[in-house]
Amino acid sequence: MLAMTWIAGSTLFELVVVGSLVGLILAVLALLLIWWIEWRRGRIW
Amino acid sequence: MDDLPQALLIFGLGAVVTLATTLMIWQGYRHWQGRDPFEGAD
Amino acid sequence: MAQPFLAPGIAWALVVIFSVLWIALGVSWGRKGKGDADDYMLAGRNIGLALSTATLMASWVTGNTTLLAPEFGYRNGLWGMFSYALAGLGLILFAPLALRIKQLMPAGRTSGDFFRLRYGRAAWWVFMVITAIYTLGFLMTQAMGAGILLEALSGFDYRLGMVVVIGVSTIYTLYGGMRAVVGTDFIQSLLIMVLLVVVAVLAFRQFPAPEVHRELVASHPGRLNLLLPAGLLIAWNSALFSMGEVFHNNIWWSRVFASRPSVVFRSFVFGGLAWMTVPVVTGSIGLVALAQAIELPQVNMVFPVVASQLLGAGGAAMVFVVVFASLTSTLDSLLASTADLVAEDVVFKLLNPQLSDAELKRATRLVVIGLGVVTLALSWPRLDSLASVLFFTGALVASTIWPVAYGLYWRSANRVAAIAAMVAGSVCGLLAYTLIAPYCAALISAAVSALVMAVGTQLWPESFSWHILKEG
Repeated sequence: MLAMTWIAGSTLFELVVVGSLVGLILAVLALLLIWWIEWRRGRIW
Repeated sequence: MDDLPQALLIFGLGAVVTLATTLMIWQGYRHWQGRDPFEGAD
Repeated sequence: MAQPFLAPGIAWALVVIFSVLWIALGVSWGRKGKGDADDYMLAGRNIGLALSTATLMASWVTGNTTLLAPEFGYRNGLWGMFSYALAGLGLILFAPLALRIKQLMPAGRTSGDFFRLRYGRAAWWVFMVITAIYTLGFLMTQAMGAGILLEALSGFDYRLGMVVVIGVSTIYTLYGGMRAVVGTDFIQSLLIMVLLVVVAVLAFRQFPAPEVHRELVASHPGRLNLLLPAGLLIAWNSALFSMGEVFHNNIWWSRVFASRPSVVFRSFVFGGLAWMTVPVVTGSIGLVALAQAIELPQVNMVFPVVASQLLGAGGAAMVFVVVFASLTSTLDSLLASTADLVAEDVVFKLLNPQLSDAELKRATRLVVIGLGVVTLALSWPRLDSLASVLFFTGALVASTIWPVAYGLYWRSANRVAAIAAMVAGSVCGLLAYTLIAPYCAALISAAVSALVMAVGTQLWPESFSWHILKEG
């Protein structure tokens, strides 16, 4: 049976781990920023 | 579990269906961009 | 019975604090607005980008995202995480459709309105059967998940944990309607994201990513294999399954109707992108457990085990809050939008079109209570394998992808083809589920329904008047 492998290197692995974490942190900050802007303009609801 | 050809087949089919759906939506989105949403209605 | 991760006293304190908070906020937000049925169902139809994005995030982060995704990472490595994250595509691809829905149906209330007006009553019945099976299954998995998780995390009795989570969600949804759901979703999504970041950052500070990678290469190289057959097989299944879930279900349509026209597109794209980071982060925590050879009582307990082993009681408390917020934020959305669908489509449009506004609002509230009770009753007998059994619903929901999108964009979309697409897609998907493998269900269903919809419309094009949708 064909059993090929393609092991992700250390750089790619770190990119996935760090990238997703940074993405999540940015999402939190962006959400808070949007909320703050909308809140100041009275446009939350 | 090591059946790579079968896995690649399913993977390819899934990619085709997902891509076709994406293209269909993209086409519809582009078509209606900047048009009257009710255009063509009687 | 394994030792709970969190002392029952602390768990109870957290449950009481957050329950009181959700109910108090929900009730107070419910007092805003005009107080009519439309306001109760759709929160005034003017929600801004922050709340709209957050409610999508919170509803899409289910108990599974925080507990099953780490298991996916643990079992299937990188592909497990990627394939789970592809479920974010459902939200992202719905963004252009949301924009069109908002333009075509400014007064629409439910996804059932769309099926009835666009394709007629027969198609509406097919849609209702599909959405009823899917929604009941979804409600039950969240309810049972609540019981099982709270038992494992804090030693609560299964039924007690379930009653608490369903009870709290039902109470604030009942009093505050969609405003309570959307408002609490904002806080719940922030809680989930911030606590996940804290747990993940602390975990990777103790075991840096290069170290985890080295361990995995040495002992579990398969988890890093980008050609892992098990990963390739499930990869697109979650993408297509999620499209089927999002495109047809009223959870997402109600968010479109409830949001301000200028924000719907961005909120679905942003919500989907932000959500995609969550299963990758929780999945990578699963890989930390594997690299460190942490002992697991059950594999679906990866996340709590890692958090409590690395971070002690504080870690366990954080996981408890994340799970509690994920479950309540999904259950409240399911309760509110399903109650809207049943009240608007069945009680009002089908059974009693003479209903006054106040009666419609009362009917919606009664359905919220009814759904809470039905969910409790159905989930009373504990079925640990339910979540995996319910993958068959992928066959049903994926058959709605093309009928929904086609019907929104092309006036030629044929109504008989839409019905045939949903029926044929569901049947073929279910056959693939039983005869081939569960991971083929959504894929085959979507492929067959796409073919039927496209060919049927090509052969017998209709000429639909878009104005009919406006009446919704």
